[in-house]
Amino acid sequence: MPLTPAHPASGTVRTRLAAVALEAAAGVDGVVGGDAGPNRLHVTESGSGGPLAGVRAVAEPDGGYAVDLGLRAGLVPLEALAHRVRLAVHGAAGAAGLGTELGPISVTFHDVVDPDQELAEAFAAALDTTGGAPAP
Amino acid sequence: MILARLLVRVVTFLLLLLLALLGLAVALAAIEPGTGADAAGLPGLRDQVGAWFDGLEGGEGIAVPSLIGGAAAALLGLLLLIGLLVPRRERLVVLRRTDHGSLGARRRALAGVARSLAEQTRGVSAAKVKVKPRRRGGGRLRVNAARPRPTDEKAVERSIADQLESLTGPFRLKASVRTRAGERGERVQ
Repeated sequence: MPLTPAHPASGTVRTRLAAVALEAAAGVDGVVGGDAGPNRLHVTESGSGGPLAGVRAVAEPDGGYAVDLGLRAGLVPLEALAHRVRLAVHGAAGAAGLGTELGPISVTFHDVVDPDQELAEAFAAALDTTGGAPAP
Repeated sequence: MILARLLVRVVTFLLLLLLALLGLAVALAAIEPGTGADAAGLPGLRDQVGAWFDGLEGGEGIAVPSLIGGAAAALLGLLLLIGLLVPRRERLVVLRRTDHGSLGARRRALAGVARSLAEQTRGVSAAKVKVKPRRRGGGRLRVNAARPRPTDEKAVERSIADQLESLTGPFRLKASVRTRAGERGERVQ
C-alpha cells in the first residue's frame, strides 16, 4: 500500500498529528513507506487530504493521542530503525506544535523490502510507464 | 482455518450457481409451463424426495448412508460457520512493548529479514524461514537451509544461529535451525 503524501494544515488535532507522524516516519532513512496493513488497520481518514495509509492516531484516556505507524522498511536492523522513527516523530510533532498531544508511538513493520526486490519492482514500473522500453 | 475459508468461497460460488440455474428453470417454466421444470428435472426430484420422506415417516430404519450424509452435512455447516464468523487475525509478532509504545512486525517481514541473514552465512545456498508468533510476545523462527554436501551440518547450523543473533538477541525470538544437503549444482554463498 503506497504512502499517501498528504499533510493537512487544517483538520482535527488527531488527523494533523497522524499526518505529521507519517511524514516524519517516511523521511527516516531505512523506511520505504507507509503501509495500511492487510486489514487496513493503519489508515487515518484526513478528510479533503484523502486517507493516510500507514498511520492510526487514537485518543488516549488521559489525554493526547497514541500514534500507531504501519511501515515498510528496507533490510536494516528493525529496533534501531524504530528508535529513529520515534525520534523523528517526536521532533516533527514538537515542531508542528503538537508535542503535548503526542502519546505512545507504536511501530509495526508490515513488510521488509529486499533491495533486489525493490530494484525489480522499480524496473517493472519503469517498463509500465515507458510502454515496454526501459528508461535510459 | 484456511480450509474453512476456502470451503466458504467454494460453497458460496456453488450455491450462487445453483441459484442462478434454478432461476433460469423458473423463468423457463414461466414462459412455457412444464418445459423449464421438466428440463431441470424438478418433478423427478420431487418424487424422489417425497418417497424418502414417506419412508422416514413410515418408521423405516435409518439407512447408514443417510446417517453419514447427515453427519457430513452438519460438519460442513460447522466449517462454513467457522469460516464465516471467526474473524481473521493479523498475525503480528510483538517484539517489544513498553509504556512508550510497542514494536511489532508481521510474520512475512520477520521471515524476510531472517532469510536474508541466513543466506549471508558461508556455506548456505538457500534458506526458508517460518515465523510463529507467541501470544505473550516474541515468537519462534524455524530456519530450513540448504548447504553443499561436503560441509559440516552442525557447523553450518551454528553459523546460521550466530548470524541470526542480531535479530533474535534483542527480542524474545527463538530460532531453530535445520540444514539439508543441497542438490548438486546449487550455488553457495
